[in-house]
Amino acid sequence: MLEDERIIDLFFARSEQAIQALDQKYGKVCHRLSYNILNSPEDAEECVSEAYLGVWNAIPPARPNPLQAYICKIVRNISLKCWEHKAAAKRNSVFDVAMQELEDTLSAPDTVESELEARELARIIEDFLEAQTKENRVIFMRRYAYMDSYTDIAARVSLTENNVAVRLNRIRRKMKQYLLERGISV
Amino acid sequence: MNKVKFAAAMSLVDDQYYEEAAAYQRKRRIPVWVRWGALAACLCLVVAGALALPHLIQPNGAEGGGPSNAGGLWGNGTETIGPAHREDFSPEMSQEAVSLFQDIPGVLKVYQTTVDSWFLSDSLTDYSQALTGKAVYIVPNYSEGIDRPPTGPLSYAVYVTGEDGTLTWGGGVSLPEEHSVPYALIGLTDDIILKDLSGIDYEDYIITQSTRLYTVIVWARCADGEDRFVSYSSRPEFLGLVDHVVYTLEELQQRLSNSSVGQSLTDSGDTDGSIGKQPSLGPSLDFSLSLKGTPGSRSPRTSGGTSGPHRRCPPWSR
Repeated sequence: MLEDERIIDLFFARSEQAIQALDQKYGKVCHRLSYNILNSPEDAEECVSEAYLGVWNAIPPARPNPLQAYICKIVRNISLKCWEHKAAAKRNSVFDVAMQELEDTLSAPDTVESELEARELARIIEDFLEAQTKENRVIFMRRYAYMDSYTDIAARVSLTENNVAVRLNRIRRKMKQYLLERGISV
Repeated sequence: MNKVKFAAAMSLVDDQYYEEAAAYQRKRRIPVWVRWGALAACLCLVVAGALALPHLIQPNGAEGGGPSNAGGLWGNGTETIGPAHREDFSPEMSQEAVSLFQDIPGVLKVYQTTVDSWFLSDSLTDYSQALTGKAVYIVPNYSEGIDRPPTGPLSYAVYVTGEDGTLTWGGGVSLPEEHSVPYALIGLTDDIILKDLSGIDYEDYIITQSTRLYTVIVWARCADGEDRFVSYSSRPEFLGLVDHVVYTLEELQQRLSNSSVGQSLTDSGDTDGSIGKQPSLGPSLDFSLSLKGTPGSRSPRTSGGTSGPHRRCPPWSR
């Protein structure tokens, strides 16, 4: 597989091989991420294709580094938008379950903190993550960024599903406290 | 803030966290010393097992047989209720267990009760008082050990921790015929437990087993100070418990005390934690158990009894 820089060079050269190389290297990760949100292989395929098009349009001028996080975020955003459209009809993906777990931590919509910019919230989440152990950070990100199932996370971090569930439960509690301390009503 | 806003914020979290989570893969290779150490430990255990076997198979009360309620690989069952020691229990697997069972799903860490009449003790205020700090690992589908072919979903192996921390196969349990699960530890999974505990707010949960009651008790430790318990029994009707139902410690004690088994223990005067005889659990329990070091114990089960279900006597009842 090509190095990220070489793939980006292909994009800059407007070579069609760029998409192939990108798909070869990160296609599986992207499909899985999208599927975890949408619970539909067809929708996931569509979102990933749309993300590739987005990358094609963004590079150049962008020269993302790291490329994986860049493409994953694009896939995630497109998949989330797709999910929002289909939310009323579907309530059974890993994303739904993962978000449902956060219901206790997060309050209902349309409250005071609805003004809080997502970027500011992201910064606070980053600060919170910095205070966690590396393993807990990974577990949290795999669950709520990559939308992995407990089984997948357990395999990645060599813990049991029980361990993962308990860890996530504790992290959510800590996060709730962390947000409250910073004046974010949860 | 709602979940959509949170999801949007997660998309804006710095790339470094995405990268870190994508690149992270805990090393799973078993260290060479663990492999050789396990092999050496197995050899030692086989020798030790062969030497100890005559003592293990002595009938109750016979010379050299040890306590009548000896629990074999589960513990000797002679301890009494002690002070609370909650901090000694963790749901997380040891590093050795993680290495050894890395490719096997559904392994459970199980702590043992010190005595099976713990619920009759007046001084019990915390469930940790009824538990030993030693854990065994239940490995589903491999009653003959993970180095042997799988034996099916209605079976499991028990791995015990040696003095040096090495895990070794200690025995196997299997049901001879189809049965609904969970049946005590058979077929019990974290998913089942998580589902049963979904309605309560808990910190973590510890799986425990009261061996001679053939009952698994999941101890959900709660921040509010009032722990909750769910049981999975092979004979719930004799214990006054209903599987999947959440109890408080008081309710659990009350139900077990009022059950036929509880009455049996009370009648035998066994309220100090030293069970004198096997409580009556009705018909013989329909599972077989093979023992570490028993010649031929890993061979296919032999038929027992005329009614189909059978049980090869575990060491503590011999």
